[in-house]
This record gives sequence, C-alpha cells and structure tokens, in this order.
Amino acid sequence: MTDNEIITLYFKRDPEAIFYTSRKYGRLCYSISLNILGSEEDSKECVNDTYIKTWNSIPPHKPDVLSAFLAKITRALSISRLRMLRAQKRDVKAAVSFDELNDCIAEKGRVYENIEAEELKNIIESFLKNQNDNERNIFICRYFYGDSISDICKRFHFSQSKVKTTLYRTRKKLREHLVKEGVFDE
Amino acid sequence: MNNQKLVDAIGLLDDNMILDAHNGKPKKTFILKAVAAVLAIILVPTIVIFSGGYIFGHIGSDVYDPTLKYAFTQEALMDICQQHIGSISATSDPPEYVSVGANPPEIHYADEEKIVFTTLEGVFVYNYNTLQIEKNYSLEKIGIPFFAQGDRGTCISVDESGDYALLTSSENMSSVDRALEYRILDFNSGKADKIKSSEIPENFKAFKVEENIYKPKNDGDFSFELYESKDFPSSQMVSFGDKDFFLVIDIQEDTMYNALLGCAEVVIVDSKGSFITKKLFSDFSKSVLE
Repeated sequence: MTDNEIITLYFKRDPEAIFYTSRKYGRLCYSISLNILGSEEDSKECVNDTYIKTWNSIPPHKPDVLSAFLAKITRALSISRLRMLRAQKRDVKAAVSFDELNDCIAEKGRVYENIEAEELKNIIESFLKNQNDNERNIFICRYFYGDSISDICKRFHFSQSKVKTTLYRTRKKLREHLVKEGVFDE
Repeated sequence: MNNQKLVDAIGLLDDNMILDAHNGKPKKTFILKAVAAVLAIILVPTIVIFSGGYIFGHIGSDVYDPTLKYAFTQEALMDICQQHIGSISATSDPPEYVSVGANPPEIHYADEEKIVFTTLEGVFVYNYNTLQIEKNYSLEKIGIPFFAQGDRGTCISVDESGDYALLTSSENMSSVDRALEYRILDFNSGKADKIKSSEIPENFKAFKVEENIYKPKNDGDFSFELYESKDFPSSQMVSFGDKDFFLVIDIQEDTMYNALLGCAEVVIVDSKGSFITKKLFSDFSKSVLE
C-alpha cells in the first residue's frame, strides 16, 4: 500500500490506516524509539503512542512524507519519555548519547535561551545543506534517528574512527555556525 | 546551558533531509572507491608499463629536472594515463648517479639515525644527522656480483641492530652454475667475511617497511601522515639524484593501488611510534660511489 493510500485511510477515519502504518513503518518507529530509550518495553509504548498521535493528527495534517512524519513523532515522543524518566530519577540507559551535542553549545548565548525551536531548526538546516552528503547524512542518522556508531559504519561502509571523526568535525563546525549566526556569544 | 533546544530543533528538520539520510548509502565515496578499484585493476598494469618506463626514463635521461617534484597518487596516475603522459615537462641537465632499471635502489633498514639502502653498485648507510652518506661499500670490491639489470645478483638483508648486512649471491640466473655465497658485512669494521649457510645468524630479516608507511595528507603533498591501514605494501623502492631524494612507495589500500613517487623528505618512525621527517640528499657527490 502506498503512503497516499494510507493517508487516505486516515482521512476516511478507517482504523485500517493504523494497521497498514504499523506494517509499513512499525519497524522504523520502533528502531528510532529503541535507539533513544534503550528499552524494549518503553519503545513499544512509544510506538503505540505514535500511532495514536498520528491518528489524531491526520486529518487535519496531510504529511508530504509519511515516513518522516512518523519518525518525527516517534522521536519527539521518545525524547519526551526519556526526559520524563530521567526527571523521575529512573535509571535510563539511553542507547544514543545526545550529550555529544554539548560540543555544539557555548557557555553563553542569550539568543539561544530565547530562540524558538523552529528558528533554530532553520539555522541548523542551512548549516547541514552546506555540508557534503556523507557529513549531513551521518549527522542526521546519529542525532535524528539515534543510530549507533556501529550501525552508521555498516550503512555507510566507513570505519568507526571515520564516523566518529566526521561527527566530531560536524559538531565543531555547527558550533562555529551557531556562533556566526549569533545564537551563541563568541 | 543545555542542549535540549538543539535536540528538539534537530527533530524538526526538513522531511526530505531526514528521508535522504535514512535512505542514504555512502554517496560518491563508496561508489568511487569501487569504480577506482576496478579501474585500478585494469589500468595499473598499463600505467606501470607505460608511465613507469617514462618516469624512470626521465629520471635518468637528459630531460630530467632534479628540482621538479613529482607526486603520483592513484588519481594522478589516472590523470597521466588519460593525458597520455604528456603533462610532465622537464628541461634541465640530468643528475649524476641516478640509478634506474629493473632493480631500482631499495631500502633495507631505517632507524632514528640512519637508513641503509642499496643500489646497483653498492650498499650505502646514510646518516640523517649529518645529512651525509656515512658509509658506502662497493659490491665489486667486496667480491660479490653486481646487481644486474632485470636479474638480481645479490640478495641483501640487514639485521635488527642495523650494524650487519647479510649478502647472499642468490636469485641470479647463473646461480645454478655456482654455489651460493654468503657474506656478513660489518658496517663498523667494513669487513665482509664469507660464511657458510649453516652459520647464518637467525636475526637477519629485511626492514619491515609496512610498519612505517605514511601517506600524503593530501594528494600531491610532500608531507606525510600515518597510514592507518595494516595492509602490507607490495613494494618499496628508492632512487636518488644529486639534489632530491626520490621515494617510490606502492601502497595497497583496500583493493586500491596507490603509487607515490617523489619527495624531498623521507619519513621514518622513531621508537615511540611518532615520525620524524628529514630532508635528504642536499649534497650528493660523485665520491660516494668511489
């Protein structure tokens, strides 16, 4: 079934929409959630929440790319759950370390404190568009999908050191870009 | 300041960007490597036959410019092939004592102080600190056959201390007609005593260049950085002129085959694993071979 056909089912409020979504994109959603939460149980719950949120979002939304739409919802829900679990002092062994992104953060940044996520997204997007394909894709695989270094190595046929180096350099360049854009103070 | 906003912002990235990354295969690099590997298999023998003859022909010919530095990487060799080896031009007089031929000079040993190499004519010990040929030994005077074009007359190994060389008159077409001869060349005393095969010390083995291979930081660079692959190089050779030191290294990188030629520096690893670079051959003189 094509994405358009699945979306049409959502618009018809046909519960089959969730069945086909699950069949086509269930594994993708689960892997993203597992990458972030590192727990099978929590990940399954997050994926179910994704289906509910998708059901409630379409309509009125009509996603251009259904897989990306689902991936974003799953990621957001998983990160939200991760933060909640951590706030509850639960011992969460997240599979991906977003802490790496601290490399992109400067100590001071008045703009960063007040900037909207959408605006920050635009700045990051403009940065990523100027990176080469491999740098951009590796960055997104790591920090959007939460892929492990070894998974990225397999996908791109790179060595671990190359992937780590590429990520490190991209983070460093992103920090410079954010400073240049005034998000952070120099 | 935490990264929460950054993490959230990344979650809003453009759909197509996200999709491309998810579907992303190694772009260009992997494909290019595969194509380059296939091309290398096809082209390298051709390049070796044609450009090798051309390059060495020019090093020893009267159109050779000793100040001209060549760097032939995989890409450069392909360029040369595509351009029918027409882009290299050299005009000045040839240097003396440039060894060419089927048995180019070869490095046998190197440490922090010296490098031992042989040419068709003899064995040389070059000292980095003094930038001088410290010792040289004529194979003819030692009493063993010269190297012959296309026919190695003597096999040489240097022991791990770098103080002794084992000279074996083997691998010679005529060796079937005579007994093999073994000599231990003592670099300190200069003596090259004959020994029996049963007396050959165990500690003789060739200098393992594969531990010390470096590649240029960028194509065409003359400064080298550590080569990460554990693949063994297929061969290593040196040739020299009166102004420049020429180093030829054939490196196998995955299935790719790189060849580098020409540098004013040679790179040797020290005992701690870091490397030093020393400029060599600033004042070669005729006397070194006498």
